[in-house]
Amino acid sequence: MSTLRTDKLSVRFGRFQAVQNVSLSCQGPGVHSIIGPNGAGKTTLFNALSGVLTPSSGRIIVDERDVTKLDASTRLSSGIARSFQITSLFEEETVLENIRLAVQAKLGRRRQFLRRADHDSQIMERARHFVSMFGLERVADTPVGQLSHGLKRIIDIALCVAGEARTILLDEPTSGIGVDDVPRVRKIIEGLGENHLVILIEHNMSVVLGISRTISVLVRGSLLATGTPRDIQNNRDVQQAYLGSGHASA
Amino acid sequence: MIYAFQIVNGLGLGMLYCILALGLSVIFGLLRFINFAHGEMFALSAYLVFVVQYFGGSFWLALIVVPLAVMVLGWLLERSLIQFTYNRSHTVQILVTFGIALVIRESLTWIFGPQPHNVTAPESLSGFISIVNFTFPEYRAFVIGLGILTTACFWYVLERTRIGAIIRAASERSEMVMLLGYDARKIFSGAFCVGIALAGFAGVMFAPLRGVDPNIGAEALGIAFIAVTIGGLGSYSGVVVASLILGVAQSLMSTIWPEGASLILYIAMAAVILIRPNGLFGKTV
Amino acid sequence: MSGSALLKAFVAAFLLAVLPFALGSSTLATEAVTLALPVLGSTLIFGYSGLLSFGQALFFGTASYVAAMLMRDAGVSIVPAVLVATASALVIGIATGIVSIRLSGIYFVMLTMAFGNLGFFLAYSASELTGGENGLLDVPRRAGLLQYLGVRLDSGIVYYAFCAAFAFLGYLMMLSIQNSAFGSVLRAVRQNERRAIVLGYNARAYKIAAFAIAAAFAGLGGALNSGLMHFVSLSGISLGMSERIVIVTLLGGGQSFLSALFAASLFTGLSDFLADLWPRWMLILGLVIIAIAFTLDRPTIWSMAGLRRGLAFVTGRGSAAGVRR
Repeated sequence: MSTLRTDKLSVRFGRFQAVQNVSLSCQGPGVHSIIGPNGAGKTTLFNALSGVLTPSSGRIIVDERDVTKLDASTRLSSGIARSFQITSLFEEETVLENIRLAVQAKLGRRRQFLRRADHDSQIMERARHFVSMFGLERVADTPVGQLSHGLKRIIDIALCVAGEARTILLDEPTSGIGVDDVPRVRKIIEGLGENHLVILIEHNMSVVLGISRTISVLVRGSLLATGTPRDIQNNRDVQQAYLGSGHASA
Repeated sequence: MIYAFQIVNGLGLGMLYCILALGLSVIFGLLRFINFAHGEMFALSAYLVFVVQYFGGSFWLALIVVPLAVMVLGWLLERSLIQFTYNRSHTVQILVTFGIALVIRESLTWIFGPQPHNVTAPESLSGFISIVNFTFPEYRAFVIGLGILTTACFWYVLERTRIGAIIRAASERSEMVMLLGYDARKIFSGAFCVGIALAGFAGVMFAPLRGVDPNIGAEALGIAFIAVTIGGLGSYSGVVVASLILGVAQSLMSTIWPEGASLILYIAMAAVILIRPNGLFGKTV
Repeated sequence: MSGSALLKAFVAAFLLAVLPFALGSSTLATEAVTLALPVLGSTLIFGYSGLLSFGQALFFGTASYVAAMLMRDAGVSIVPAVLVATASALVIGIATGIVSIRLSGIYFVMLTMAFGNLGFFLAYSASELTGGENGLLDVPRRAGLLQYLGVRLDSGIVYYAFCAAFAFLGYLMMLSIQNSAFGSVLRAVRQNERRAIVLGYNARAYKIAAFAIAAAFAGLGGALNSGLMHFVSLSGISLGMSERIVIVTLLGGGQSFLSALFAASLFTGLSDFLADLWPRWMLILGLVIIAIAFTLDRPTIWSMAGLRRGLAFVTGRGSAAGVRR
């Protein structure tokens, strides 16, 4: 069972308070969504959680371990991985190579110098395993840069999983992908939620309401409410925040 | 006191470095790339002063005509080559300007030969000034004076005029230039020309101090880099302070230990970046 | 070793074998080989890490001086002298790499050039050690234990073979880096540093390691070069030398180590030939550099990467440039 907790987490840029005193408690396996109007600080929160940004105050605790001080590259060793809103992959490399790199980062600690990369059978096997897990066999040898946005998003998620993180942060996984690809991505996230703690930033309400175990609402940097999809749907303050800012999507 | 003399000398040298390095900073600030041809533009203008004198022209004529000529060359290069590198990587920009530098340097050596040539200071400035007990060359005083004047003008334009505000804004965020509705191409072109003109100006003033030879371009580039590194990329005031320090250090060193005159500059740079990686006043780039 | 790697190694070996005859002299061929080593290193950091160093002469020159001093004044024989000199270049490479490789790549070029100049002026001022402008003369080629194997280093062609052996080994090392896990991470870091970091790779450490390797290769070239002319001068540590290394790296395309070997050979032959014809032939080179710069990261058919893509397409092998199977 994986857990992620934040304790009065704040991120400040100069005088602008992007994230204010957010105390979250998420437990896996399961999907925990973070929603909120644009500019509410969701991506900033993610950046703090994944170590890309240093919080101004507060703590981040992953599986009972205080990771607040760890930098981005060591954050993964504590079992937390994240995907990016704008897909961030190794465009010139093949799908298989992208995933292999993720696996290698996790497994290849001591064997990283002169050994032939594709001769390491354990790494290659793991990589192929993830390729088939995500249904990517047909494009395994295609350079990622040539693939569609939807596929890239799936590969992005695959990289997080291949790194064997127990907690996976997904930043707007359904944004920018074709409407036909959304069900496939949704299914993958649901599947992930069975074995991992998935924390999701999403605007697509039907996905959020459909797959989340719990939902947290972030408004102007502060946590407004947390609860099951039902609770959130019936929550007056949440409705106010959304209707008030004119934001609604289903 | 010999040290006072060297300090004054050093300030003169520092002023030259300052103008040169400010030119590099302007180009970096707005165009976001390191102009590797900067040193050779400096060298080219110094050589052009020699040419003007060779054909009987006066230093004063050169002081006006040469920076303009070099600036025109800079404009031509910007329009024909450099503007096509704006959306390319840093590497491409550096290498294109490096190629230009090579062409200029080899052309100068081809035309003028590898040996040094002498450039004389103007008649009116070849005497000495005496202030209290100190005597130093008039030309040096002139360089300091003109340097201060130029830097002051630069500061004034930067801080008090609209063009300056645009330059400062664009140095922070070059995308902003276009968002504000200004013709980005004209501003980039202008920035490049201003930077080159400054290098040219520095070159003209430098020529009577040491004459010309094919190496002065590379030396100047190296020193401009040090000034910008110590002062901090993105900080104009840092560049001014750093240049003055460098000039004085080099001058003092040339009396204490002549071989180490250039060495001290590089050691100073190494020391500064170890302690303050972004330079004395630098912003994180 | 895979089929294609074996083929490449064979071509490299063939090139090295015919070089003295192609260039007409063993001295010239040795010069080409001692230039090829730093160029191999620069190709690694440029092609695989996107790092353009204008200061490789620091490592080349320092190792030259160290090897020369060891062989001439300390009686050390050539193999240990070369190894110690290369190690010294490696150490300096690590130190300057740590300082020069930071968050922003813009400082890197300036810093490497500045460190190169620092080395130059140090060598210039420390004239008791380095001979200053006169340099170090009468550097012997001490065969040491090798003489018991019948190796007579005083012969030009034998010294060439000695240096070519190092170059070949260096080339093989680069080939294995290319296909190794280390190489794959370097490539990944160049393509998307942020993602590589988030995956768990310490991108900066990888870049520093690559830089250190390039420094060692440059040092190896410099150390071997000191025995070539029996003479070490400031030119080996000068900005001109750094520029030469950059130019030849570019001529070789910056992606393929085999092209790097060819470029170094071609350049050495050409500059020897043209220098007599027209001393300012570098002018044309400047124009060539500008042209090459424009083709970078956008391979056209005229660049090596473009040629390889074309070749791959035609032969139906391989995928995008930079991918190894």
